Amino acid sequence: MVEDDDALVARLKAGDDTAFTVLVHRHSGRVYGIGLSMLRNEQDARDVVQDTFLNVYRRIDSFRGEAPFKSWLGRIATNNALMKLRTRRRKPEVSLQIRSPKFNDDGQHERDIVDFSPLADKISESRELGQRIRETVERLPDKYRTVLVLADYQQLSMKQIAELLDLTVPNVKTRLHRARLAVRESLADYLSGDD
Amino acid sequence: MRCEDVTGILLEYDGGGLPPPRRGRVEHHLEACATCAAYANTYTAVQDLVQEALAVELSQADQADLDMALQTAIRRTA
Ligand SMILES: [Zn+2]
Repeated sequence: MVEDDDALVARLKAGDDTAFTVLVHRHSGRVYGIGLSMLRNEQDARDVVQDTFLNVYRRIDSFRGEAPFKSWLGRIATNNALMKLRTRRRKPEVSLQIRSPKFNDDGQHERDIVDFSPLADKISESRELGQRIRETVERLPDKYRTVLVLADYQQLSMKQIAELLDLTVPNVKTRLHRARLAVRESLADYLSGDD
Repeated sequence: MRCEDVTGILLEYDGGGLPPPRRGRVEHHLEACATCAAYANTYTAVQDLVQEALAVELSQADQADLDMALQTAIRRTA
């Protein structure tokens, strides 16, 4: 039987380091994903993974289990990634233009919209599509990418994101909306063969 | 409600944050306008696609390096 996170955390608190190893292996990909998508650099992302799990090891006694371990871990990882994002030498951004759909004077869509939503179920079969999405997200300017990653990858609430980034909730929503529109436009171009 | 207005509040609509009268007006438009319906579907799909696409695994070599680095750091502070 697979031991759940709560049981592993309990063992770790009792001083059993083998439980720590299991937690690291179970969640390292997720933490790496947070680091990579926020920092756009593999070495920085690996540093985030290492720092995060060291924090977990050292602070496990302060984890009270009110939220799932995974959320607590995600918050530590996010904070580490944000700290790095603020302090590191900046990699020049190769920014995606933030585009929105075009409307005519009557407020109607100017272009036909192809419904590519069924692809969401097939993404695991298409490496190319996954790659395209990662590249698109990577090319978003920092302020849009960060919010998109926190909301749509990490599933944090608008309020949680606002607190983490020191923004107002309406501000978070505006950035998130524009980021989603931009990713949508880019995917639509790609899938229609325009790009 | 125009297509442009609907697009502008998709975030609230998707997140379930629209109060009933406005929610109803959006739904009404989506039923009548195939373009917006397709747009709204893809707006939702972007969230799932991002969620899926950003999930990565550490390579075995990186995982091994991580294990080693963590052990060393923990031993040093023990
Ligand atoms: Zn419409």
